[in-house]
Amino acid sequence: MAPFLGGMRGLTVFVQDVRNCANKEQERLRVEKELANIRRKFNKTHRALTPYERKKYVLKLLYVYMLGYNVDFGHTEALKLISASTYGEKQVGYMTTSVILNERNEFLRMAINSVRRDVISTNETNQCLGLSCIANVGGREFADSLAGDVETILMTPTIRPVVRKKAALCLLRLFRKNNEILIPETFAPKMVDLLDAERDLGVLIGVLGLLSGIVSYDYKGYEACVPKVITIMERLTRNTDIPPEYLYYGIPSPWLQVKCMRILQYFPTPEDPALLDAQLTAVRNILKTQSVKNLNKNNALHAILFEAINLVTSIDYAHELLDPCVELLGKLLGMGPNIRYLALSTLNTLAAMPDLREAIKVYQSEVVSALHDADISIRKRALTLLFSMCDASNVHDIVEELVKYLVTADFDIREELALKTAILAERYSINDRMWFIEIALQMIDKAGDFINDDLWHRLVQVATNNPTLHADTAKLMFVKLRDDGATNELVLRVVSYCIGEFGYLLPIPASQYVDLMIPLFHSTDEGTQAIMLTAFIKIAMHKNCDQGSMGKIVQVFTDMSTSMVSEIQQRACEYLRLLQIGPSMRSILEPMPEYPDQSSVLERHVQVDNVASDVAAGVRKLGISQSVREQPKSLASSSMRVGTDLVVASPAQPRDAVADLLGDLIGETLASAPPPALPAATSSGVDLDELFGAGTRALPAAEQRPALAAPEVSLALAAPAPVAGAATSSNTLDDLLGLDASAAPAVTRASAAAHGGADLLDELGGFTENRIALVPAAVAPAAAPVSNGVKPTVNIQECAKRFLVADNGLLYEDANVQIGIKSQWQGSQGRVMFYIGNKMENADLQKVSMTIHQIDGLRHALQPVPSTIGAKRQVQLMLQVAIVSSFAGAPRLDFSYTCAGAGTVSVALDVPVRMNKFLSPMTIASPQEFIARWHQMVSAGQQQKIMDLAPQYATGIESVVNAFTGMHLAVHKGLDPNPANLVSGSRFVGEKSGEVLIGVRVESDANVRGRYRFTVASMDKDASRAVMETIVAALGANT
Amino acid sequence: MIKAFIVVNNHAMVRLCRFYEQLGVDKQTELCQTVYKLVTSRPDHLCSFVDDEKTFGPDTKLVYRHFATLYFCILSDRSESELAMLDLIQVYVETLDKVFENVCELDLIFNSPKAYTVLDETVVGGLVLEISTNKILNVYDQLMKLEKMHSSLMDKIAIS
Repeated sequence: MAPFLGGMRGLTVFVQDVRNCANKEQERLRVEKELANIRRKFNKTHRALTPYERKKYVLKLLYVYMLGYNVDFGHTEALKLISASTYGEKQVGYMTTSVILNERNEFLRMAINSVRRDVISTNETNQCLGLSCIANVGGREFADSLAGDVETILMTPTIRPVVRKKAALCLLRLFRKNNEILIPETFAPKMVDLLDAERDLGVLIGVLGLLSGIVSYDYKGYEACVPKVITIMERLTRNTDIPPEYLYYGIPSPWLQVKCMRILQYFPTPEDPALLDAQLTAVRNILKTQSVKNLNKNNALHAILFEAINLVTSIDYAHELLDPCVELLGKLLGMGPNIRYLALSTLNTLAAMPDLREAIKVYQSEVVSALHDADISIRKRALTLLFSMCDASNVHDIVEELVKYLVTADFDIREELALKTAILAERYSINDRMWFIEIALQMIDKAGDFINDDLWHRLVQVATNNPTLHADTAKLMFVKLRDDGATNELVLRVVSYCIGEFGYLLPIPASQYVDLMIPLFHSTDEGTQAIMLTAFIKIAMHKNCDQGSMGKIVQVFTDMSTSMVSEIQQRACEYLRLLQIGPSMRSILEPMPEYPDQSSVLERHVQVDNVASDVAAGVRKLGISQSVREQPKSLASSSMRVGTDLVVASPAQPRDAVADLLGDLIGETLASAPPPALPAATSSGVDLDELFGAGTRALPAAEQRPALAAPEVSLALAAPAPVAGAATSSNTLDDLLGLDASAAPAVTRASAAAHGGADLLDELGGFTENRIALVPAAVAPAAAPVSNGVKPTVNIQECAKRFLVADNGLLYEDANVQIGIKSQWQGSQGRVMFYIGNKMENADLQKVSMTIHQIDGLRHALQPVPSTIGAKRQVQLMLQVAIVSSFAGAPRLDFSYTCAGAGTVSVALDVPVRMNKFLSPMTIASPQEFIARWHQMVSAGQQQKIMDLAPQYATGIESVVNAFTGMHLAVHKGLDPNPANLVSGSRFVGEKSGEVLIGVRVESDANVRGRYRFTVASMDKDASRAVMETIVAALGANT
Repeated sequence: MIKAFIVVNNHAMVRLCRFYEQLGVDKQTELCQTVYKLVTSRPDHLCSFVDDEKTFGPDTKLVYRHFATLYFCILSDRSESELAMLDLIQVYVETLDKVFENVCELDLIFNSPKAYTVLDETVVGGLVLEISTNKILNVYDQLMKLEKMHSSLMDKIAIS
């Protein structure tokens, strides 16, 4: 065995033991045993350790530390080794110290004296050990007590280079800990001497490292070094007097060349023409570099080349070299991935110089093709460059490419991409705002699931502020709605908002868009519904609204006035009331006035990035116009107030939402003010406060804060002032007041009664026939267990299968009836809401009955079932379930009804309540802990199956992760080091069984796509069987 | 400045690591695992650089090279040239190759002190100390002679 382990049989055996451990747990046991042994040895008082033993045990500690275990003892033993007399012990001591200890460690301070003794000794091996150790871990105390000694070593020419170069880097470490140890006035001349006289390239590497560290902090005082560095550069590029060991693949120390050019970039351009010329000549020679075959030589050549280009960009008088640089980089775009990556990065730096834009644009198509590179690193670079090189002349092409790219882009960059694209489109479309609106809509359409509201807010802002675009915007939105429908929530929001605002400009009757919007209304979320309600009232209040549309809108408001979501309910009630009052209220629903602030909320997202990355890149002297990057003076949030108000942030903030609603009505935001005292002075004399039941109390408040009544208020309200007179208006107010005070609670009571206290289910109105109709209806199999000729119009098995991975959906449908389900799960309990709808126009469902069979392990209670469901009516029934212990399968539901024409129909269905629904994530403190649990569970009872997955899950582990999430099996990322596998750990607490943990491992078969091995383990055998059953049913190819 | 030098194998076992920044053990382990995941998720024909602000923060880049079962990775700040970092890895591996005569992963496991010695003669405190393979080998050989002398001395003591 090698000298290091020579004679150290114990260490070799230990290393081998650890390597032979079959798993992490065994390894941990072995390591703990060893640590206990070492601790005992170190604590032994009756016999001192021999140096050999101490060395052996400290080495073992180092090995254990390297395995990732915390080593919290033995530090003193390592320090004792440092002060030992032999090299072998010292070496182990220093090595362990610099790996295990760090500068904050108290123990390290104890070592200062021993280290100093080595540094100033005459034994150069010991000097080297000491210097290396300081350079790696030395802290401020070392700087204070050792800087002088280290500097002396560096400056003494008689000391061998091998020591001096270490002293140079050691000094840099100390300088970084305490900048005061090197004062430019005294140290710069010494530095010049070193650069001038030093012939040993090894020492020069260290000295240049030191210099670059100093000047990166502050170059002032070191200007005299510049000519010396240039001289070294020349010596290297001319290959004069370079010892053969510093020729790297025939190139004179590429490392030093790069370092020299890096240092020069930190200084301002030299004023002496001779110096400048020397610098430029060296750079010019480098730019002539040709590529070679040998990979390593090529790397080295290009390292020099790229650094030379960086240097050119930092020299003030090198313009004539810039264009050739761009050309060179353009050529490099076609080379191997490393070079391509660097060429893109460097071009990005150059793109900041306005003069070079044109030259860079020549390579636009290459950059665009790099956007589709297989390598994400390169794709990111290409994207950054495209953003930098975009201007008014190529913005259309680039934005078009980016829109295309968005569809295939990596998920985690889509948001940024969409925002940046929209920013480009906006920045360079001053004369064609409509184009921006079109692009923004496309981005919202394609990236709607990845972005927040900012983008569509900006779209609305731009559209509103350009009155000439109102009609076109309305048309664009209408066409989008008509041709594609609402592809995501954000599209529906922006479309609804714009149609609400500008829809009256469309040359078509309101019914055309109202008919498109109403079906979408029911299947969307509350935030969007709130916006749609406002759009509806604006449409309905417009004088061109036809009676048919009006009726439909009134119907929506009426339905929603019993919504369980207070925001929706309130809007619906108020709007309904506004409609009842009639045209006199029209003025408060005028289109929004222009937004006062033009700065874009979008720009904010990228500015921060740019500043940060440029500073970090150390681009100190580039002539980048800072104004481009300055933060906008006024935060854009204020400009977007009104738009933001339209979105209900979350149902958890009902009070704010009320305030926002008033903001909507009067065109001003007062979100922070408490609703009862909303100060809203109006020019018409109508005190809107009274609308909201504040009564007289609010009047003083309004007077106290007149400043808050912003100009927009008067703009929105002033035009046709409702001169109905005091009597009328007070009547009106009373009506509204009455509505607010009594109607709303009544409504709440009514809905509460109807829905049987379904408080857990947050939205009840959301699941209606429309939602159900959206589920694709598959053709029913002939064997469906339905009697009397009434066949289900959906595939019941398919529906049941979908519920394995979903909580909501359609359970059953035939010609007469439809049953949908929404469910919520919390801990050991769950609520399943049945929505049973009678589809018939004019016949009742009679003798409706639902029976749910008992199964062991599950407790359930179903609300009483009404025996009759009227025509076109829907009833909601809640089933409460609780888990007692593990159970397999799902309870059976016998459903039957009688109706005219079909006789009695009865079907047997599975209630989608399976054991996995009760699962929640298991807390895992550390991977070790999980592995320990896993082994326990595997030994108790495991299920294993190798399975080919159904095509929709065979695409990769991500789809399995999604399915697992749907099944409530918590996936713990990172537990399995192989990213193609996954580990899941979940638990449920049964009323009888108590906590049961269930682990699942999924391992992919590298050879067969879509084939996985599933292992389910649990202390409870039935639980693992049930989970395996569910997994097989949900994911398997042939079930 | 180099922030860390990490050698990790195909199975996430760290074979050698040296941090030139002050980091706790947990952070170091975490960083090693992050680096492992990043590099192993990238096929060999991709470029050798990863610039991931979300993972490493704004002023760090990862340069790596894949040799047989091992990934040699350098985390550095932006002041270092990427290609120069690749050269550095090449120099280190060439030196190891001469030290161990066809270096393989097992050499790093059983002779990690040797591998550390070579690294410490190449990089000190995050900066490159020596870039010439021959020079590094010279120093290394001297150190080995010293080591042998002392251990044979020790053997003699042990025998007597």
